[in-house]
Amino acid sequence: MMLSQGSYGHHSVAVGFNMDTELLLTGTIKNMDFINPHARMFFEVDSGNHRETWTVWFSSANNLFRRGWRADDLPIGTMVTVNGFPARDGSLELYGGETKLPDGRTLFGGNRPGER
Amino acid sequence: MVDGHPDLRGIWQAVNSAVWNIEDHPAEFGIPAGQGVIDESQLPYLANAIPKRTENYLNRLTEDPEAKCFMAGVPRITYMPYPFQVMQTTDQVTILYEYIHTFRNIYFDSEHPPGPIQWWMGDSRAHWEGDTLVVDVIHFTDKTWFDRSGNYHSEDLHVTERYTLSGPDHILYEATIEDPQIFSTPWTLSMPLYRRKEDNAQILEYECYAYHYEENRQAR
Amino acid sequence: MTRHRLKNTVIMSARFMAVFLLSAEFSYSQSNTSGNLEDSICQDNDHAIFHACALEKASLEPAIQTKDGQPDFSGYWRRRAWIFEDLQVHPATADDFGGTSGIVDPPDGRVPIQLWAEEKRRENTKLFMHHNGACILSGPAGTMYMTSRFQFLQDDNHLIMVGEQLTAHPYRIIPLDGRPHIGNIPMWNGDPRGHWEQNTLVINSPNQNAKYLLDQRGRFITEEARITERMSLVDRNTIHYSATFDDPNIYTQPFTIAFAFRRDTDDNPEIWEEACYENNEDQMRLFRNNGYKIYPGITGAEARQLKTEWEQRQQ
Repeated sequence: MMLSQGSYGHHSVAVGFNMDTELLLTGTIKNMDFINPHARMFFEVDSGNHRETWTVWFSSANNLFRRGWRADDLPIGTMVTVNGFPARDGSLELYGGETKLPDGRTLFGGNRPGER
Repeated sequence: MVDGHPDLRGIWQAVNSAVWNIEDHPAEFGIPAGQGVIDESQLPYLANAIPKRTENYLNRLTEDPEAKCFMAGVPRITYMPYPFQVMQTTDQVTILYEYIHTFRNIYFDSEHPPGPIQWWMGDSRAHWEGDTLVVDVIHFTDKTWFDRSGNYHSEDLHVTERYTLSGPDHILYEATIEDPQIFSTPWTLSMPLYRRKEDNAQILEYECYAYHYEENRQAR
Repeated sequence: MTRHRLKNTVIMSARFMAVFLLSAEFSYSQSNTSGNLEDSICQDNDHAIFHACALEKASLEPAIQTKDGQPDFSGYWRRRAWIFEDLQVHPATADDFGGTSGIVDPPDGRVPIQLWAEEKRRENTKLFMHHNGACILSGPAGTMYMTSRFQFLQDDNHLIMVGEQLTAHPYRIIPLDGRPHIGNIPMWNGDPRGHWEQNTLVINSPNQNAKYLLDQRGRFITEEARITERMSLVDRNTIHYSATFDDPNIYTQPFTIAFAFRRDTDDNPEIWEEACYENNEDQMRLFRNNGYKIYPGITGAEARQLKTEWEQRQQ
């Protein structure tokens, strides 16, 4: 499991996210914003008797584009497993991490050291 | 000449009121009158695209992305009332706009990266046709407007810009807009760009959103 | 080499990662962390060592020259420093890449900060988010070490820099033609002018408004600071960059940071548009919810006032 280190780069991740804890969640993609400065994925997690919509923060869309990813690679309805650091303010947000797709491909959403 | 082509380097600025409305318009308080910069008598909206334009117009003071300090898109960035500087090499033209430190890299001899990609200023690839720089721009968001009056586009926007030196201190700028989701036919706007002739002409800063932040509004 | 650290994982994964610590033997010849980098004649992972090596290797014959024999900095470059986290030596953590001190003068690598200002620095870390989080520009030198990737374009009269990576699409236009500075128009990135001293480009940028932090540890300057930058070509693929900050309001002496830029030889090193403010509301919400405000900057007059008040408290 890869941790994305300090992936905010110029403003620390730890300010907004608790980096002492890591969550691993499985859910279905509701939407994917390939935008800058941070790409985001919204996915629905089944929490027993209710559903929660979580937001996963990634590196910039440009970094994802450069690695060959496009919006079509993450279609709505795909089941994914995501790991990341949870938001400090209690909102359903993660700083991700790796996103694993059913076909085995993994999107590393963080910043590689050279991208920070 | 740069590499055998016309030299577009320098500081340039449009002088018109297209940024308020690219069609003919009378004055309003704070807004000068202007003759349209489009070649057609009116913008060729598809019938089902007109309601959104009307809605944009009615809400323009808050909904214009430029009023929110967002990047202005293409071609609007060209006629924003701020200067821009053109840098030109063998491999590319880079335009650096004073408005919110926006810049565009316009590459020669290369392809657009495969989409879908949505950038506010699109992706620009250029070639020379004789003495005219022709720039092909795609990969837009749908979030910019052509002017304060709510004229808008979709993500399928395709802009073809043409920059032609019409004298030592003037560029004829033309931009052809194609967007089959919004307009029934392509349309073109055009205007002269004027070289800023002051000896000390320089790109300064207009940091729009930075002035909005409350902390920066406090008197010091 | 990459370093990762696991802490208190809530849900264990079936796969485990090895943990590596930042090593002084970090290879400088080929890095798999920052695009493709050609070999350099000076190692760049220790900024003091790089600085000394670059000065020693300084030559009157730049490796790549313009037609006038000046160094030609054109091309795509990556900055090889993570001093935006902390100008001083700092370890790798989950939040920081880490590295040696970026400060090459004074030689002890410590920022020569006045005592009252050290207190203010600590306050800054508690009160303010980093300016890049609000998409605010980083100043003349900050732009160079906070932005990760650049293209430099150069002609007889200008060195132009366009940047990408988390600093809100900055650019710098540096006239080389000896034109005078403008008048009293403070700006985030100041009013730069470059001139050649033998094979070194020296850049002065008055009129910077100091409304940015120098690193993630709350370090700062006032608008009265004089910032002098120097750039030279160490070899075809390495730029030696240094910046001297001279602000007697805050520091006991001027101090200099230095680091390398390495040429990016990726297949596609194009600098792309990286919008910031247009999609930043949610990130601002996270900062605000955690109590952080935007750093407003500090003037020389304010600094002198704070220093006087601090001194009175010591009596």
